Amino acid sequence: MEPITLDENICYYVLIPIFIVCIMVSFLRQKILVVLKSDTKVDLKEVKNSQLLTRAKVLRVNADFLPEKAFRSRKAFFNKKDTGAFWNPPDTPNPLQAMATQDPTQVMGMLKSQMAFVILNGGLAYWVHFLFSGFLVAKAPFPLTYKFKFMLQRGVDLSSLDVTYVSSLSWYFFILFASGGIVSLLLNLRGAPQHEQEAQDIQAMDMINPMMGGMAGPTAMPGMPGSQPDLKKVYQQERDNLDIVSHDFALATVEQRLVQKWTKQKQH
Amino acid sequence: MDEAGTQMTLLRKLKERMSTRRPDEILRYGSQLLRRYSNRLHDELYTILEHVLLAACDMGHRQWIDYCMSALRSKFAGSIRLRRLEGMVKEAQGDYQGAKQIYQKILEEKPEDMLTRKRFIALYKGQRRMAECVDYLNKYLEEFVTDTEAWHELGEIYISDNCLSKATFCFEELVMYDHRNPYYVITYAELLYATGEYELSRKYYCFALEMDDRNTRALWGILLANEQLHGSKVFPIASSAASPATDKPPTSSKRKDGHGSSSAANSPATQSVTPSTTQSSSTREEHTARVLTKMALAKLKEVYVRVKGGHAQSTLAVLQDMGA
Amino acid sequence: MPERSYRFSSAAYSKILSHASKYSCSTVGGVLVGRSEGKGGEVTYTDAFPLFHTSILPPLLKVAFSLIEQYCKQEGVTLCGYYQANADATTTMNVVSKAIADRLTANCNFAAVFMLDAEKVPEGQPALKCYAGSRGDWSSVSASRVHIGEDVIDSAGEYISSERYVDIVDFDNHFECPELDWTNPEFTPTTTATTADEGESARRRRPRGSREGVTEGMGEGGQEGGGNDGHSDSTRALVD
Repeated sequence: MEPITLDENICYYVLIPIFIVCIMVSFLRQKILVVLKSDTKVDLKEVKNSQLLTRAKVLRVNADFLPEKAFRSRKAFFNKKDTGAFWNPPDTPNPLQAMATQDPTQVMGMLKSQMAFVILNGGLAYWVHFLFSGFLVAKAPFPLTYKFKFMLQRGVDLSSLDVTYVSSLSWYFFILFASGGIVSLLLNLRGAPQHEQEAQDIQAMDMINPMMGGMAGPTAMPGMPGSQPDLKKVYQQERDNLDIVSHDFALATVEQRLVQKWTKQKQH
Repeated sequence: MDEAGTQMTLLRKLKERMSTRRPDEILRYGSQLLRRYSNRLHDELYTILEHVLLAACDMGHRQWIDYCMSALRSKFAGSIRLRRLEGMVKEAQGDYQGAKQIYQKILEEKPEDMLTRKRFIALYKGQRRMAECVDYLNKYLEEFVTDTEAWHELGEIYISDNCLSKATFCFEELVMYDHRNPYYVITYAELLYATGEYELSRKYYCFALEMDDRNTRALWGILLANEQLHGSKVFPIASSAASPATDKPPTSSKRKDGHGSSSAANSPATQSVTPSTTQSSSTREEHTARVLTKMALAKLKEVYVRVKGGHAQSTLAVLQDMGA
Repeated sequence: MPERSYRFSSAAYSKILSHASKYSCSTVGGVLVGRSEGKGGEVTYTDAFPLFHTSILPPLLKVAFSLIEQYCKQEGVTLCGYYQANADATTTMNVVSKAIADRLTANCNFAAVFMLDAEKVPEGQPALKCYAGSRGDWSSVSASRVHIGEDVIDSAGEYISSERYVDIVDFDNHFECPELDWTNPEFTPTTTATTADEGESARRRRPRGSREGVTEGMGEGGQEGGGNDGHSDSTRALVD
């Protein structure tokens, strides 16, 4: 099939505008979210749990740098039968119950952020579709398999068209997912975020952004306060992880190692 | 151009001191920066204001406290960070009740604010209620178990109260969280030495040296630990004069060597080849200890030979006595 | 126990004050060396060696003691005193000071302990509270037996007002950077302050112990009372 030549004007009037508009909208959305954001109530118990789990993880990873006695006493703190921290998980409320008794402000907060996503992204997708439907805006410089056709040629239903051509709608989606890095660069243009909260927000948004995709809607809520992973299972898992760690004191032969290192140094 | 240079110099000097607690110098450089270049500092202005405010609190300098507070208030009125600073100012002025009220209000709004919680520790410390301070720290650490700053604070309090085993636990936590921090490792080694665990202490000194082999504290530590463990078997000349009132006589070490091996006390070169395995492993241990001591002495000598001054001479003399 | 009296030289007192001023927010300690005039005679402290401003543990102490003793051997003085300035400005002996003091008396029967009384420093009065005794039993000594001359106090104040106290080196500094000299030779009063800034003569005219560098242009102002940092009181009052 002959390569299709795309008019230069497409580049100037479609490719670049979609790119700029999409970046700008993402940028705007971040700022709007900061304004609309209501303070999420952090559950202290969650903080305590997550820190406990972190400590267990650190213990597992750095066990070898502690003397055996120290490691064993800390392992016992977590794993000792019946009294250890991992044998007594705090009660996790029934997830359905949790949904019902959720703090209304929390729900509002989630709703607001979802609305921002849906409205902005949906509106933008509609705009792209309305103005630029049926355009081919770019050609991928590398060959691709047939399966990518669906992804790259949204809105253009030509089965015989080469897979490497990208339609305007797909280009929009591509920018949407990929804009995270550029947007954070722009956000940080005026210097590092002034408040700790902002930095956390940006990170949170970066996580949520690709997962949401704008179309997923309020169904997926990764890591939001209110979702309670089953602590019993988590604790069980951690308990097993810690059980299998064997202590191999990293400093058992450190004196010999040091002597060898110094002897080698002297020889050079 | 010259002004910009001075601004940069002042800024650099200030930043070097920001992480240390030298309120006199922070106030000195910070006040000059603020007085002369405040309109050119842009975003850094507020960090500098904060540091100068805290230094002024330490020094009791009323005018700078007022100036910094009003400058910060004009930009950050009502923010939690500013209110915490207001509490700290009250603390410095001795109004602990007022400060406590401010912190409690902040915690009502934001119960997860760790920094404000830690101000309660400072309140207890400021009022010299050390028992309650330790209590509060322990409770705090039950909830926020990964807070290394709190572990460090607790460890230091235990050290100053001579509760060395508890302090050892705290520093074990710190080593666990960050085993590449030479300060944690060396302090841990020193605590181990203080509680009589000379072998372990030596290991951690060696570990610190693996990270930085010019660390004089660790080098001296190895010499001391070996002296406690092997005494005269390692040092050609017993350095009894060098350590007044040693806590343990060199022979009552933690080693299981009870054979009083015939490896000569005074000649480092002899290595007895004994038939039994326990003796050979202890002799190997002694040999390693001897070699380690010798090398540590050599390293120390290397360091001090290059140093000018009377103090270096006395150090070299001591090293000479030890057999360098 | 003979009732001894204790005299401080400029070098010793200046170093004590400088050390305490430099690390006004932590507990600092150091040893004193000197000699005594015969049995029961006056103890003269000729020099001071700042030890630490961080937490104190046996290994550092041991090494410092052995180095200082070596130095003392050369100079013909004895290790016979310990000073400490607490972060909370209290003047009672704590566990650490008692432990070190006990160790000193094992080797020297006229050893004494001095705690810095930060409130007296800006007033220009002798600011050391003395404790004498032996293993486990330390009792306070009356201030009349501690002789710190006016000239000694003046020269110590000079170090603070000219901001040269920042140059003092203790063993903590020395172990971090061996080039730093823990004997602090520039703190002996034979070297006079010859800095020729314009402010210098103005400083000399001001009351003893004041500091100008920080406050140009801010005008005179009130002192800050209270506060939870002990002997930073001494430098606090130095800032007008």
